[in-house]
Amino acid sequence: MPPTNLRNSRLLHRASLGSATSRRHFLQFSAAALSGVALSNCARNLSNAGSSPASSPTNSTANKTLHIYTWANYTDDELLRGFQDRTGIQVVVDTFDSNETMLTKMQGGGGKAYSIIYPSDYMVEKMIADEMVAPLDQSRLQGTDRWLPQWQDPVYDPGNAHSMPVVWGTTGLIFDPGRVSDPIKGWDYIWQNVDQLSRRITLINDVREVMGATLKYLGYSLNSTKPAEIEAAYNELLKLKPAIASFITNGWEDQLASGDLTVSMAYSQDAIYLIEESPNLQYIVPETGSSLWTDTMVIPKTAPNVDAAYEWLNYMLDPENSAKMVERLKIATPNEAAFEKLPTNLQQDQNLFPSKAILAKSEGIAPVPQAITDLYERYWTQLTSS
Amino acid sequence: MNIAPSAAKPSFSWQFVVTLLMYGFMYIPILILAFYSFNAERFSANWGGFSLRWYVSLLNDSRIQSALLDSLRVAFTAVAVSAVLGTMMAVGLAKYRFPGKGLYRGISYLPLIIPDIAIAVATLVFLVSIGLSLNIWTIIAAHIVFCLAYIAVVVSTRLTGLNPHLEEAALDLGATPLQAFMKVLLPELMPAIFSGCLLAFVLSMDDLLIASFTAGDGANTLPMEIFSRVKTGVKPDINALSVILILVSGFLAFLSEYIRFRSERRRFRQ
Repeated sequence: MPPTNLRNSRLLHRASLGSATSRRHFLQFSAAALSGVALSNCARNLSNAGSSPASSPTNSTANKTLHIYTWANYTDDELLRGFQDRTGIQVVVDTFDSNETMLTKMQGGGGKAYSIIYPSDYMVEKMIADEMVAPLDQSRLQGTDRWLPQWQDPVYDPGNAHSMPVVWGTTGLIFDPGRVSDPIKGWDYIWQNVDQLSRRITLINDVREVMGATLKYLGYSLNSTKPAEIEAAYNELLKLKPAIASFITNGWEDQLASGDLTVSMAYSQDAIYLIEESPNLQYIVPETGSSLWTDTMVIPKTAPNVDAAYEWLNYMLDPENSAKMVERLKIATPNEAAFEKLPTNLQQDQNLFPSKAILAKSEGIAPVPQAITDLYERYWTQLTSS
Repeated sequence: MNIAPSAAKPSFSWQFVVTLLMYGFMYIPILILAFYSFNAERFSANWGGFSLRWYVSLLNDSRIQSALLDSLRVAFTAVAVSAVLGTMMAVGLAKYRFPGKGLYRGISYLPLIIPDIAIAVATLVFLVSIGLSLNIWTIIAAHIVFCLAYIAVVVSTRLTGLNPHLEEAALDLGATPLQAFMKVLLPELMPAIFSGCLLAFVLSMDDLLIASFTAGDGANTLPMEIFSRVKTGVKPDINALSVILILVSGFLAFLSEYIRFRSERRRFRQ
């Protein structure tokens, strides 16, 4: 298997230090923290002093190129060619492997060329707080009124004032229907069948995802701040302990395909990809609801080519383009107009687009006060280390 | 030189076992990787029959190919520049005395012990503060920093083992300093320069952090592409790519060894 356990740096901020974050993660994380505080200030001072002309480079050519900073697989040649045909602007794509890398590079001043960046939900929040992204001029955008309800006013960026959601997904369960006694609809199956599932399930290695799923199962909010509810969730998870083979985000794929594992908790994107290869597997979003993650597009304050950035946002808002992108790249769009343009088989693909009823019960993971974070972490450490 | 053979060697010595274990430890993972690159199945858990599908999918993946080209361009350029500079540095440090030499030596080897992330962020901040825009050349420049140190270290160790009188003898016999360097010292250093280059090349191909922070303008190295794809899933075509890379580099190493062997034989005949 190719490198595993790395993908999830998107959610690193929620992972406790006590859990098995890899060394590289820790480095990235501490780099983001350290350099953010110390180095960026110095870089900013130096560069502000020396390079005010550099921020407006040769205008005639700059307007013809748009630099974007994104995840691999979120763009492809067809998408870029379509944009060039329409606007005459050439797109140069650079990729990052984690939000933390992206943040550090931006704070270090290495992102001055980028007019569009693709941070994840929690990172948008942080970048807004750090005043790194420019508010979006809604009058320059067409078609922003057609978001699915969950993205009309997201917790990470109220009113989508600074960011535009572009890709989203869920957290759920993946399993082989041929290997379970009755069809799995949600988390209750796991709790009811703990005896048969001895060391045959894996959970994501992330405190808020696992605790959140349990809170949902108990009927509470994913972002509960009530100590009693959190304790109840912990006690439920303790009952599950004999069934849990490990807490891993990636790396369960082989064992699940071969039948050594019965059920794995997974991000929808991983599951969709896996099912393409092993069609006998099935992914469900628990009927009690799940967590939602979102990747967005923002325009950084340092953007050299704001006009082209708005062109790009409008291009991505275009339902036709969004729909084609969903078809080619198998990623879910929050744009309802684009959703309507999709072929029926994709519209009904429950893995990409869970039913509205389930969506309505789902929430994004929102930050909680420090004391509550500590509480989550404490239970998580007890759970994962016992 | 002939060492008297020790009395009737046991057919199964512990040295043999240790050697076998070591080679197994080093090469079995690579063999498994090569084996599964021909697997028709996505998962290594099942063997779905022999297939070239991952090689085909690799051929159709233009992003991986351009990332590989960028990586090779960075590695070759950085190693070539570092080979020249690193050799000169090692020779200079061995030959001359000057004030601050110890300090110079210490500082020049620092990239070996500083964590990648620190080099990466420091380089980025430096590049930004002097107003350079990031592109493939900034990756190359950053890679030269650590390639230089590795090559210089390897060449230095070789230099300490050399007979210093050889070069002096050449000078005595009427060679110019340049000739003495090119014809006497350099051939002696060649194996060290070569192995230093190999080491630096591998490290440069492997580097994710430094490249991530110094890349720009569409330059995208192979590790950056692969790690960014982990988010949406990496396919076994990466296995296929690794096998191709191993074969190509194995072939190159064989070729250079062969050339060295031929030239050495010629030297002995003269």
